[in-house]
Amino acid sequence: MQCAEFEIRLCEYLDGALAPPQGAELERHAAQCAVCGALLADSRAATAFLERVPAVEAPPELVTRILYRTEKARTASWLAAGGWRRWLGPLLAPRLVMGMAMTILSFSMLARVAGVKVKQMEPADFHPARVWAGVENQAARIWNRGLKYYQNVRLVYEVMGQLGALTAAEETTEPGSTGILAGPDSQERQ
Amino acid sequence: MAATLVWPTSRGWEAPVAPHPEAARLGESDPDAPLVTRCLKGDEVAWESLVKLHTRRIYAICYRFTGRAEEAQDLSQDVFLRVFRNLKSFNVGSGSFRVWVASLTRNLLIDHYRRTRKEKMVDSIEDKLPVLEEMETLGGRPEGRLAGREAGELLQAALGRLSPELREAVILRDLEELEYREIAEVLRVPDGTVKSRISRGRAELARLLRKAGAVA
Repeated sequence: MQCAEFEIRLCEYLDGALAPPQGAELERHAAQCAVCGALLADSRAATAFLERVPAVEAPPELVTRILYRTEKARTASWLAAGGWRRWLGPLLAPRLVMGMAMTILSFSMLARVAGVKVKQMEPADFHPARVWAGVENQAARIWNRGLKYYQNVRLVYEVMGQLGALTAAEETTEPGSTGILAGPDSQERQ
Repeated sequence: MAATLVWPTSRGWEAPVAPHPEAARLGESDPDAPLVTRCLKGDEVAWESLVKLHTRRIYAICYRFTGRAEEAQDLSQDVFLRVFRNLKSFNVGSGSFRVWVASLTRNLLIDHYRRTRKEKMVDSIEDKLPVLEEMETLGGRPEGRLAGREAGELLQAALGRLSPELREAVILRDLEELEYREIAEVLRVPDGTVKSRISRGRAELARLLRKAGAVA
């Protein structure tokens, strides 16, 4: 047996996987060759020591960390692969986009005609307190406008009602001129 | 990409070899195959199971190779990220998933070793003294009285002084208990080379442990 072959067969010998005749041949070589004899003794000592070493345990949080990182990678690859297009695809159909554009254009034209002033939005405009104040302000304005409109309409109805009553009263007094519109001449005639 | 990496050896740069002839046989009896198939269909539960199943082993390989818990954790995460990204390239049935992951881990460890080699060479002189002192302190006790944790620390210190090619062979065989043909597949070297490296690695390890008084 050559030393190179001994080095290879040694693993199987220590595993107990070598056939008895080959094992005996290996032992004979180890007895004759000092270098291979030392290799056999060292390998035996090392395997005996390694058997005593406990297995390494992974930290419990490692699985969570790995899953978190792979989840991030999954999201990134989904975005990079254009997965969002599958969801937004139907909304991005040319006909629908054209329809949306026309709707926005129509509303903006109506707003312009109605005198709505569009001001440049700033990041501060999106602050919740500011948004709430704006909503409250708009609600108060709409309420006041509605109230004013109602009061105006009520006044008009009252005036018209009075006028209607006067007209009706005049019509009933016309034949005998006894109405309030009858002049001094008519009193004299009586 | 994994197959094209080369490894510096005592004989210079070793060229990559063809896949191991028994790789397909390993794949036929792969217990991970159903989980991998489900993962490829986008099953997140299957992915979680696969991660849970292999985390300990991958972390152990990384830890035994680097000797640093923090580095081992980062590397384990990188390994699984690489597995996640390249899972489509794994051909279920043509090889064992366990071996494939071990190959990815080994390639990542090689990259890491090359990246940090210069840094470690600078540190090595400073590192050697405490390691040797620690080995002597721990190893000064009788062999039978060495606790498991102390034996682990001694082994780690000795492994750190082995050459990377012997270290990885010993780790995969003696600590992670891979079969010779699986190690040959991971290292992409013939079976004979694997056995030879394991024998030399064990002998070198025994010499280092003997110096520290840990083995007779």
